Amino acid sequence: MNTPINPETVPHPTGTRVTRALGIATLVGLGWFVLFGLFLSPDDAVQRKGVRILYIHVPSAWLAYLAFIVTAVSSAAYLSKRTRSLTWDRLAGASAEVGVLFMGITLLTGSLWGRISWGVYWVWDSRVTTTAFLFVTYLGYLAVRGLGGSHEQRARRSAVVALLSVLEIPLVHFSVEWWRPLHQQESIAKGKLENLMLFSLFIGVIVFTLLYAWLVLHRQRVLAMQDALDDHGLEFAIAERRQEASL
Amino acid sequence: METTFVIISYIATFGGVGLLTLAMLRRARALAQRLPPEDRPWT
Repeated sequence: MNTPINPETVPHPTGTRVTRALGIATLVGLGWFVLFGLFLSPDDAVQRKGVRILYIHVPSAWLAYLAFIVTAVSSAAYLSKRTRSLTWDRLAGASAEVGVLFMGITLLTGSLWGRISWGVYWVWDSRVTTTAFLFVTYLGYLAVRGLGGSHEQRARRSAVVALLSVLEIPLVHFSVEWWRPLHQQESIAKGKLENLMLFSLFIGVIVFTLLYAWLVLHRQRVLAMQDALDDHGLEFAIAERRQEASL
Repeated sequence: METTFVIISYIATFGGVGLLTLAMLRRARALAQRLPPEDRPWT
């Protein structure tokens, strides 16, 4: 166990004025989202109350895509010699963790929606299967990040995995066009949602994006502190031994 | 059944995000106690 540098609690270890403002905006937005998603938007003529699950399901899926793309771009920035920095690696890791969370939410809410609309929790159609595969792939990415070695080794191997994993996203996204599964096709671009329903979905996308940014900023800083602690580990251990010897 | 599933969706989503956030902030506090302020350049 490392010796605490500062035994007093640090009130805002990863917070700044920007993240606090972002956090407040996210909380206010979540309130609006629940209000519109659960109460103000009407039931759908076909899906009835089930449409309210889509206000979570669709933004979660989009945010998971965004998170994994950010992971890939950050990984490419790390692999490039001109921009090589462990900050990129930590951003990639933080974004992937949040992406896995959103992907998990996508699968869970999709399963509940499927039970209402299709009568079953799960079908092995192309969209559902490729989404599950994407989820498992990024769990694998996180597992690769947890393997031993130096920070640089972790960054290099996980960057390669991230650049390969991101290739699955087009497969997932276009699976509804290429294989015509049970999963419905694009609803928003084709104008199938109107008025308050579309507005509720729009609020969901905005709020989930704010939430993603807030989570990634904090998580990236936690990872930075973890790396710093690893770097200082030996120094702390020596200081601890000296302290014990002086007692 | 529909209402139950809708409520489960919202509770699971916000509960999951809330639990992750709490765990992350607790971890941040624990780490910050062990590190000098210069290792937290954003503060």
